[in-house]
Amino acid sequence: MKRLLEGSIPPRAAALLRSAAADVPPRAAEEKVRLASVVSGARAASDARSRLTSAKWLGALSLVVAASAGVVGTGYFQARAAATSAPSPAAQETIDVMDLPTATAAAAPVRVRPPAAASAEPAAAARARASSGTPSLEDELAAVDQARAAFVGRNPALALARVDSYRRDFPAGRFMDEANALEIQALVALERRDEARNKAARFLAEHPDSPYAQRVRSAVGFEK
Amino acid sequence: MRSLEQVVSPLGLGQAEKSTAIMSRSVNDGASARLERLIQEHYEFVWRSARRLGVRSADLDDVVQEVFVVAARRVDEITHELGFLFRACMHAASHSRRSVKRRREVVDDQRLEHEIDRRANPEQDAETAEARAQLQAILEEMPEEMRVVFVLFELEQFTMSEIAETLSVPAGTVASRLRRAREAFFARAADRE
Repeated sequence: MKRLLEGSIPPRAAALLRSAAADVPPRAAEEKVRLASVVSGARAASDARSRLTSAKWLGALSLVVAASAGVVGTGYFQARAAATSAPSPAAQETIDVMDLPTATAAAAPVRVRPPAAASAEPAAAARARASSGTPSLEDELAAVDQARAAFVGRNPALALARVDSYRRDFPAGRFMDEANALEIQALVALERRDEARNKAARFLAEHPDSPYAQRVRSAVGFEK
Repeated sequence: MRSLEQVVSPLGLGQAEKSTAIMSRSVNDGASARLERLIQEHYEFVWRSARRLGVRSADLDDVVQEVFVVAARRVDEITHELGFLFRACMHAASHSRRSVKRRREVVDDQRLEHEIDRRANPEQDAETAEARAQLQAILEEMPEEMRVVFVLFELEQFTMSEIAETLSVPAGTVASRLRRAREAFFARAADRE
């Protein structure tokens, strides 16, 4: 069937139909950037929920493995753990979890270590430390969520402040890519374009394949 | 009330498998990239659709956001992108209209329309702005089932079968709604000459 505008219709009707082409949103560029953050938040939240559920199971499993390895007491793993001079056994434990691939976790560099390295330590000690205030994945996720929420809530200044405190609290943060992308978007929203472009250029040079690369490019108007 | 999941499911693949944490990274990145592209390419379509479905200008951003949040949750199931987005838009728009009614806000719609027209495109000439406002008024007078067919076919260049799929109605129904919508459009366009 032909559209009305392809046939012959009264001029007034044609003018009305053609006027629809002028129906364009007023702040499209700004809203697209904001929406990209909103939906990435929606996806991150559902990914994180499933990740945390699995993380709990994996955690339980690794404690069982830890217990048995502790009994056997293999010198190899202890030597290996010392040789890699890992930041802390607690960090290794969470790395197991973070090696699970997800969009948000993609920001974290994949560090391959023998999973059993963490198990050089008796399970009880690991469990005790886990509950002793070491920042958890939940804490870190909450921090980056707050920064995103500020940006989505059209408060870029607060988003910047929260990105700063995220960096301070989690210097080796696993969501650093997302924090960097949020910072760039917030700078654009605050009209601090030069800073945003400099940071974007650095970000894209260092992480050309980041899942946030496209968002950073659109925020500052770089062509792919 | 039907849930949004039920409403949009005919365009998806039915009940999606529950995503698991073991989902491969490339699949997940693909979904994020697709979402970003959906926003980049179809934001304007969703915005126009929401407006033509009668969402007030004050609620447009919220409705558009809701549509993309739904798309984010179900991105792996989307087959016909515009159809999916339009359907989600119909649902979000009707929800928005109902909540406006509940709030019993007194709104000067004409003033809002005037504002949105000026804001939207300052360089747009007065004649086009007036035609656009009239088209919007004509659309708002049509019953929704006729209006959506008219908008999708005449303004958004959907095919008849895409409309049938989007609305989950037989092609013959789409054709008869379009015929009635065109009659209403011509009658009202003539009234306003």
